[in-house]
Parts: sequence; C-alpha cells; structure tokens
Amino acid sequence: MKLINQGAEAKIYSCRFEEYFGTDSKGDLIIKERISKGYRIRELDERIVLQRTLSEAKLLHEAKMAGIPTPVIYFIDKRKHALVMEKVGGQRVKEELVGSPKESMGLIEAVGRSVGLMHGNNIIHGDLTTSNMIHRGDEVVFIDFGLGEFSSEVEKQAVDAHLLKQALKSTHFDFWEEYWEAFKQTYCRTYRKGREVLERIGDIELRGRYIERGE
Amino acid sequence: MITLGIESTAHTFGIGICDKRSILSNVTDSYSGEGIHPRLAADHHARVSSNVVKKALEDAGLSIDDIELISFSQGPGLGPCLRIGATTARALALSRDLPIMGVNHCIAHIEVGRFLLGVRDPVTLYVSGGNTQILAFAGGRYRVFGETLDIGIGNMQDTFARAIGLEFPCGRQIDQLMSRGTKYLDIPYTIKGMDFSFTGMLTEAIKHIHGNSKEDVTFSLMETAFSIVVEATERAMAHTQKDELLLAGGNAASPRLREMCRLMCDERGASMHVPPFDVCRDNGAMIAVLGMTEYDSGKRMEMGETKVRQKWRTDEEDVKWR
Repeated sequence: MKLINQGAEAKIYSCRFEEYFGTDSKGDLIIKERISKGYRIRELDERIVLQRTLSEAKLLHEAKMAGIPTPVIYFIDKRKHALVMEKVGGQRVKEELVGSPKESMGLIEAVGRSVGLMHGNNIIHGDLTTSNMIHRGDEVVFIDFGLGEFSSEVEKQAVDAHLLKQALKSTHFDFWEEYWEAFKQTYCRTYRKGREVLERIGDIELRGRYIERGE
Repeated sequence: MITLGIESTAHTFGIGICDKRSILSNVTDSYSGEGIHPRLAADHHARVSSNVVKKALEDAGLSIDDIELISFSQGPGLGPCLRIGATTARALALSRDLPIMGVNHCIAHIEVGRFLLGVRDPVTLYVSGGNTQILAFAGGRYRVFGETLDIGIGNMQDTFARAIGLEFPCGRQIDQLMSRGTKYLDIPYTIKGMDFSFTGMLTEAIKHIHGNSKEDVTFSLMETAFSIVVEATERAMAHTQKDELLLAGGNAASPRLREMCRLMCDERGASMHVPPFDVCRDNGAMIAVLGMTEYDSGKRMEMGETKVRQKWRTDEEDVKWR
C-alpha cells in the first residue's frame, strides 16, 4: 500500500487488488481513508468522519445509477473510515482546463451535462471544484462526494452550482466567464429546472458580503 | 516614506504611522453600542478623529510635518463611517500638500502580516464581525477561496451573546464560557466546499439555551463554528498548495481558534502566523503599511479617485506590489 496523496480530509493510498483482497483478481485500487482531525473535539470528529464515509459511498452509487461516471466501490471499512475504490486513470480537470476556451469547451460541456444529471436526480455533490473531476477518455469522472447530500431543493442545488462558479473564478480566472457560460448551456439542456436553479444563484450571491446591489 | 494610515470601516476609528522598517504608532478609539448603528458610529469617529491623530503623532514622537503620505481605508465597509476616514484623509493631504492613497481594508489585514511577520505567500483566514473569508494570492490578485454565505462569525457570536444576556464587547466572555463547557450538543455543521454559513447553527444554539447550561451551549456552538472555518481553511491550503497560514481580524484573538489553527497546521506540516492583537483587529497601522507599499510600487491616486467604495471586493484589485 502506497500513500499517493494527503488531501485536506483523507489519505489516499494506491494498492493492487490482489494485495488488498488476497484473491486471484487483479487491478489497481485506491483506498480513501478519512483522517481524524486533532483540532476537532472527539464527539464532533467521529460524527463527521463516519457520516461522510457512508454518505460518500451512497452518493457515488446513486450518481452512477443516474448515468454519471464515478469510481466503483469494492469495500467499505467502517472501522478505519475507508472506502476501497477503483483507481480512475486520467488528468484532473483542474489541470486540463487551461488555454483558450475553444479547446476546453468539450470538457466544460461534459461537466455541465453531468451536474445537470446529478441535480435532476436530487444529488448534491457538495464540493464541485475542478480538482474533483477526472478527465478519462471522452468522459469526466466525478469523485469526492464526501460533502454531498440528497436534496431536490432549488436552494441547495443553486449553492452547489455556485461553488463551481466560485471555483472557476478563483482557479481558472483567465477564461472563467466563457467556461461558466458553456456550463450553463449544457446544464440547462440536461436539467428541466436548470434555469430556475441558475436564477437562484443571483439571490445567493446577494446574501454574501460586498456585492454591488445596483444602488 | 513616513505614512499615516486612517481606518474607519466600521466600529473602530484608528490612526497608525509607519515607516519602511516598522510601525511607529497605532491608536484606536471604538464606538460601542448594541450592534452597530452606522450613523452613530460615524458621529463617534468624527468626534474623536482629531484627538486620535494627535495621540498617534505623539506616540510616534513626530509632528504632522514629518508625514510624507496619507493612506486611508477606502472600503469595504459602512458608508457613513468610511466617509469620515476619507474626509479626514483629504483634509490632511490637501492642507499639507501630501500624496493620498485609498486602500482595500481586507488586503491591509494580509499585507500587515507580511510586513511584520515575514510571511511570504500565506492563505489568510480573516475572521471578524462583518467578515469571514479565506483569501490567497493567485494570478495577480487576492482571490476569495471561501467565505460565509450569510453573516460573519463575529456577528454570529455577538447575536448569540445578546441572546444569553452578555454585554458588548463579548469576545472574552465567550472564550471563557466556551472553555468551561463539557457537553457537546448537536449543532448543524454547514460547510459547502470552502464556503460556509452560520445562521442555521445560530438558530439551533438559541434553541438549546433552554434546558442546557450557557457554558455547554457556547462550547458546542463555537467548537462547531471554528471547526468549520478551520476545515475550510485547510481545504484552501490543500487546493492552492500553500504552506503558510495567516490569521487576521478581531476574532483571531480567540485562544481556541488559534489552538485549532495551530493543530491543523502542525498536522499538515504548515506554519501558522498571527500578528499581535493591536494589528489583527481593525487599526490604522495596517492601512499605513498597505498605502506605503502601494505607493512604493509606483501607484498614485488623484483626489478625484478618493470616493469611498462600500462593496469593494479584494479580487477586484490588481496587486502591483508582489
């Protein structure tokens, strides 16, 4: 088992299928082990860590049922707060979404379609940054549903889409407006209530600090 | 370049003086009332302004003739309060024939940390009454990576304090109550990526007041709120791959928040930096430091450009000095 990444909330190990399960099947695995945080009190930490592990497994599965590419889950280790998953090959969209919007249009359109499907199936991802999308072949695989939930509320879906807008603004600042326009197009084409959700984003932004309210 | 900085975005009227090497003086006088009434706070600022200027010059051992640049908080903040600071700045600059520089209040919180503590490229957790933001430098600007979707953490704390009968200012009392609580009550943990919101947990905590001790409710509420901002900050550090944390704003005074930030940084091998409290809270010295830094980078401002900017976001400003 090899530690390949330590994110903010989980350690990611890579491992061979046969090594982990001791069977004849072969393949590469990812083990996502949630880290307990020393800064949080124990009661709060345990609640958060276990709940996110289980809810992530459920959401990954439901997203797949809705037609969104997500990694396969082989096993859930409740004691270690770990998900044992398929290793998704490819590049993060964060690294691929560079250069002129023309070249990256296909990618952001695929993101729009998938997020539209998610919301149409009442799935909130909860952390829609481009670090959590992997470009594999001609599809975009969504990972890290740890902050996600099920909801049909326009409000929650709008916050979810708003996060992506923020991520585009802060990380892909050169062309974020073009990307955001392309996202909105395919999102609305895939999701019946898409227009309503996008309109709500305006209200959410107005609740924040320092937004011009057209005085 | 000896610079006089004027802060007046909200409660606090402050004058600070700095030169290239250090902060020479930093004097504040704050409006206190239940919550904040913008016009009354502005009246307060107008009343105390000349005395605060005098005191700051005295503390620095300087006369007004020694000042070479006037810097002021141009925004964001409350209009009536900002206008007192801007008026003071214009009056000083015009009467002494000095250059003037309007600066962004939030960026000043970051730059004073860089100036004093030698932090290079931090993620900044800025926690105060009105603001709760996670800021970092990327692509020539200070970008907002995470922020509250409703109220600031200090604002939440004040509202809660009033509900349990504490008087303003309540920071220290909240810290004490929190440290004496032992039982964790269920409080909603609302984090959305790197953004968060506080009104839901505030409502829930107020519901818990009946039938629980003040200590336990305060403990549960503040542990939850701090855990959320620290988690969001850690996410921003992982996302931007930066390994320095700068804590800023009035709520940076909380010992428990500092402890949590330190633990988080230790766990990820990052360093954590907190300026002394008098430059963490709203103050004039940070405004002086940023004004001087911008002036040195070649930026100039005409009198006609000194109108206050109440809703000025940090990411609207091109950073020329880095």
